[in-house]
Amino acid sequence: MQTWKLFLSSGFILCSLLITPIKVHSDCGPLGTPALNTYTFLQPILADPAAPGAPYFLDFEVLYEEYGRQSYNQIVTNVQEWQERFCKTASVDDIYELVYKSSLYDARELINSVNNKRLALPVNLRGNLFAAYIKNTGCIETAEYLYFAKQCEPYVIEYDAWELRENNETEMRLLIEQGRNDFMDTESYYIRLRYAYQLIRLAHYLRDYDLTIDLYDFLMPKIDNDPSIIEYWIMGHYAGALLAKGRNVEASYLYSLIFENSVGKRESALQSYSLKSEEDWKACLLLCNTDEERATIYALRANAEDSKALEDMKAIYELDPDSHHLDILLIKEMKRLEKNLLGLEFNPGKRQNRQFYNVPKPGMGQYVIDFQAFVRRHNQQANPANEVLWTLAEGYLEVLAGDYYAAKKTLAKAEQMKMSDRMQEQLSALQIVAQVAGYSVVNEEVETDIARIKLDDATYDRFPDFKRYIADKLSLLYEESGQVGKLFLQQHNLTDLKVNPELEVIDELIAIATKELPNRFERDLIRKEDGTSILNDLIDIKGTYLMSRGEMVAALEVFKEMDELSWERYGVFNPFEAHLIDCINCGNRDSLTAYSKPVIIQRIRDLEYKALANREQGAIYFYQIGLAYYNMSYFGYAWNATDYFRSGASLKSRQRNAAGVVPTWQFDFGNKENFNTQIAEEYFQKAIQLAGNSELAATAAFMAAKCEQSNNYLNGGQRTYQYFDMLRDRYADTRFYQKAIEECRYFSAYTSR
Amino acid sequence: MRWSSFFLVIILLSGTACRQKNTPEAAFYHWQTNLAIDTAQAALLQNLQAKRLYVKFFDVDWNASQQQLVPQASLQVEPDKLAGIQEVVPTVFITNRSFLEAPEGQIEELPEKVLRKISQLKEQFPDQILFREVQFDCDWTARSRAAFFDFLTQVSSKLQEGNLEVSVTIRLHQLANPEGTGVPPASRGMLMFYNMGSLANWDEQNSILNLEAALPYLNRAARKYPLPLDMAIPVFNWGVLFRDGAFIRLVNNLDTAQLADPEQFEKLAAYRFRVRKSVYLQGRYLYKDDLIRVETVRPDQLKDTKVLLEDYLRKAHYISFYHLDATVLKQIPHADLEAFFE
Repeated sequence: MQTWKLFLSSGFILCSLLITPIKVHSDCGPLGTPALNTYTFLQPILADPAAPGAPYFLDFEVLYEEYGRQSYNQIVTNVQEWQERFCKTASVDDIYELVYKSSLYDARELINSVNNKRLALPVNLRGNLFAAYIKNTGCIETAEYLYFAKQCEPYVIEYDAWELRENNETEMRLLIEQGRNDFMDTESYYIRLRYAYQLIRLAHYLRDYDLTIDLYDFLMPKIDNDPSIIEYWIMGHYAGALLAKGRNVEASYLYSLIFENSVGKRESALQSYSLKSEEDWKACLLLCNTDEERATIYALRANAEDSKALEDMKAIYELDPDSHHLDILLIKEMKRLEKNLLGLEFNPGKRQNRQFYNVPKPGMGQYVIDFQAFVRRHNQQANPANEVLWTLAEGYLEVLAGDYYAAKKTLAKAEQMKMSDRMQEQLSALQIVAQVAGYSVVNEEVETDIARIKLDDATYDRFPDFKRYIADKLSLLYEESGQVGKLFLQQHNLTDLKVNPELEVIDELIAIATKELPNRFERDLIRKEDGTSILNDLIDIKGTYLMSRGEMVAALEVFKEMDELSWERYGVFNPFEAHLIDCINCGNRDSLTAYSKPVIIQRIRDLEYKALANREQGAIYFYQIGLAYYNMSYFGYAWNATDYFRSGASLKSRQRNAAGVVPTWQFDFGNKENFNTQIAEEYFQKAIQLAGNSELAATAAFMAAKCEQSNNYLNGGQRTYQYFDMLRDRYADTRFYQKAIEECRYFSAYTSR
Repeated sequence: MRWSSFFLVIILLSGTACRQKNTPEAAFYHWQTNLAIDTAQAALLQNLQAKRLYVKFFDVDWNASQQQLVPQASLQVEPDKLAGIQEVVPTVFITNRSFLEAPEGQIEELPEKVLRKISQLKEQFPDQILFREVQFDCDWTARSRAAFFDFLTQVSSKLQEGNLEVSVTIRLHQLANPEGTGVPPASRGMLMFYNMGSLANWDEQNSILNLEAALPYLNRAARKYPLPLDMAIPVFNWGVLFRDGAFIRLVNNLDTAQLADPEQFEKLAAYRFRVRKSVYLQGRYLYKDDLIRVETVRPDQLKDTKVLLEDYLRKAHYISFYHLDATVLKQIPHADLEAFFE
C-alpha cells in the first residue's frame, strides 16, 4: 500500500486537536468537606442499655434505636402496666388494641355492654380478652375512663407543625370539667390516677399553666395509688407548666426524676431540663432528697455537648461510687478521647481532621492523664462496680495515653475476669489495638503477627476500622524503613499503581512476589481475590510503563518474565494504522490484526531492522514505527497499549503541573499520562529524510507536525510550525498536500496567511 | 487593629463616581419568637422614623429523626404591642441543610407550605399593618443553589399574584462572587454586613464587624451586583466561647458587664476573659479555663462602616439594623444610628 494513500485514509488527529476546544474537568473531586477520619473500637455492648443515659448520652445509634425512642417506649410501658394491673388476664396485643386502636364508638359500646350483661361486646372488640375481662368483671370505672380518654385524644395528639392548631379551648375546658367530676366519682385510685393524667395533660395543652398547676395540687393528694409510670407522665406536664411559669428549678428537679425513672418520658425530660445559673444549680441540689437524685443532676449536666464530664464524674463518685451514671459517662468520655487521640501518630487524615473538625482538641493530652487518674482511683477501691468495664477502660486509656506496655498488662488482667462472649470480643479488639499501637518497627515477627490477626482472628472482621487502623500504622513503619512496595499496598491498590506507575514500588513488589519463601503476610499481600498472584499484573504494569517511556528493549525483557501464553490476556492492539478521522476511543478499524504488547515491541524492532537493512524502503518502515509511537501516545487511538487510564482533562492539568503526574479525583495517587510524541517525531523525520517520493515525505511531514503541535500544547510558549512550513515550501505540488488543505482547516488557514 | 485611614481614602475615592440621589429609610429586624414592642423599642423606632420591621415568622429546618422539613420557632404576636410599626416584612430563615437533606418531594411541597404558614401567621397582625415584601434568608451553597433558587422562583410567582415582592438576604461572599454563587431570582437583596470575621479563631478581634476582613469582598463584582440591595447593619453582641483551644459555641447577648465578677472571670484583655472556676452562664455550664471573647459593635465601628459602605447605603431603599433588642441598643447612642440617614 502506498504510504500517502494509507495516510489519507487515516485519522487526522491534528485537525481536531487544533480546531476542537479541549474540554477539561476540574482537578477537584466531588464537592464537599472531607469526612472525619478517626478510628473506633468501642462497642455498644459496653453499656447497660437499661441505664437511663445509655441511649441518649452515648452516640451509639443502635442503642437509641432499640431503647431510646420515646413514643415507642411510652406505648410499651403503658400497655405493660395495664396488663399488670389486670393480673395479666389479657395479652398485650388485646390491651394495645383496646387502649390505642379502638374507636370512641367502641368505647361507648363497651360501657353499654358492661352496664347491660345481655348486650354483647361491640363487633370490633369481640375476641378481645381485655374488653371481655372488663365486661365480665363489671369494671365500669375502667370502661368509663377509656371512653373519657378517647374523648380527650383528638386534643392532645401531635399535630402537623405546618398547620395552625385549631382552637378547641371550649371543648377542652368542658372535658376538664367533666373529667374532674368523673375523677371525684371514681373509687379506684388507679383509675383516678389516669383521670388526673388526662386532665392535667389537657390543661397543659391548653397552655393554661395555672390551671395545670391547680389541677395537680387538687387531684394528686386525692390519690393513694401503688407506684405507677403514670405518676411520671403527670409529673412531666406539671413540670412543663412550672417551666412556663418561670419556676425552672423545680421543673428541672422533676425532669431529673422523670429521666431517672420513666423510660417512656426520658427523652423529653432530658430536652426540657433547664438550669440557667449558679443559683439555679444550688437550689436544684437542695431540692434533691437523696445522693442518687443528686448524682442524676450531675449526670445531666455532664451530658451537655462538649462537656468535660470528669468534673461531674468526680462529684458523682463522691455521692455514690456505684452510680450507673458513672459507667455511661465513662463510655462517653472514652469515645471522645478515642476520637481525639487514637492513632494520632500515623493517621493520614490528621491534617484534614484538624483543619475541618478541630480534632484533636488541644487539651485532650492533659485530659486523658487526668481521666486515667480518676479511673485508677475507681479501680483501686474494694469490689468496684462493673469491674470488667472499668478495667477495660483503664487499659484503653493507657493505649490512648501512649503507654502500650501498661495497656497490655491491664487488658491481660481483664482476661481473667468473668464476662460475656460479646464483652470478650470487645476485650480482644482492645488488645489488638494496643498490640498494633505498640509496634515500633516492622519486621518478620510483626508481619507474621499481623497476618495472624487479619487471617485467623474473627475479631478483625467484626470491627471495620481495623483494616484502616492496621494499614495506617504499617504505613508509618514501612515509610520509616524505606519499604516502598509494602507501604504502597497499605494505602493503595494495583489500579492506582497502573494509573501512576512507580518503578521502585513495582520492583519491590515483584521481588516479594518472586521470593522463594515469603512469609504469611507477604503471601497475603501479593494474593488476588481469586487466589492467584499479582506477579503477572506487576510485570504487565512495568513493561507497559517502560513502553510508554520508549524503552522498548527493556520492556520486552520484562514481558519475557511472563509466560508467553499470558501476553494476550493483557490486551491486544494495532497501533500501526493511520486513521483519517481523529477518534481517540474508536480503536482499530481492522479488528483481525492486533498484537499483544510484547509483540508490538517485536514488530517495531523488526521494522527498525528492516529500515536499517534496506535504505530504499527505510522511509516507509520508519514512518510505520513513527505511527506506532504516535498512536500509542496520549494523542493516539492506541493509547491504551502504553497506559491504563486516559482523561480528557489531563492535558490541561499537565500544563499547570509540570511534574508529570496529573491529579484526578478518580485515583488519589494521581495519573501519569503518556504525552511523549518526541520519539514518534524523530521517526517521522527519518522517514522524511529517506523518502524517495514526495507523497510519502509530505505524509510524514504532516504526522511530524502533529507531534510538534502536541509538544506545543504540552509545553506552552511560542508555537512553532516547522513542518507546516516544510509542507508548504517543499510539497505543495503533492496530492497529499491538496488533500490536507481540504481536510484540515487549520492547516488551510495557516497556508493562506 | 484599628480601621486605618488608608482604607478610608481608597473607599472615598472609589465611591465618588455614579452617585444616585436616594434617601434610605430606617428599618429593624425582629428575630425573637414573641413580638411585643416595649416602650424603649418604640422610642427608638420613633427616633429613627423606622416604620418597617423585618419580622422572622419562623425557621425551616430538616428534622433528621422525623425525616421531615419542619417549621420551628413560629412567631407569636401581641397585636396591641406594635406601636410605631406600619409595615412588616415576613422573613423566613431556611437552613441550608433543608435543601441538602430533604427528599425531592418535600422540597417540591415547600413553597406552598411556607406560603400557607406565612399567611396563617400574618393573621395575628392588625389589618392596618402593611405587607409588601417577603424575605427569605438562606446561606445557600453550590450544592443547594439550584433547589433554593427553584424555591424562590415558585414563591415569587405566587406572591406576585398578591403584589408582594420577594427579597433575599445576601452574604458578603455571595456579593463578591455572583458568578460563582449565582444571583437568586428575587426582586431585591438585603446585604447582611456582619459575621465577616473568623469566628472560631481566638485571635479574631471581632467577627461581627471586621472592616478589614470585609474590604476584599467589596470588589468590582460587588459594586455591579445584579440585584438592588438594601443594607443590614449589625447592632448586637455575643460571647464566643472557647474550650481547650477550640470554639465551642456562641453565648447570645453577652456583654462584658455579665463577666464583671473577678472571682468568676479573669479579664485577660479588653473583651477577653478566662473562667476562673466552673460556673453556669445563661444556661450553659462553663468550665474552669474556658475562654470567652465578647464581641460587640462599637459606635466608632458604626461610623467607619458608614464611610466604607457609602456607595451601597446611598443606593439602598432600606437600612435595617439587626436587631431590635433594647438591651443592646442601650449601649449605642441613637444618634449613631441616625447618622446612617444623614
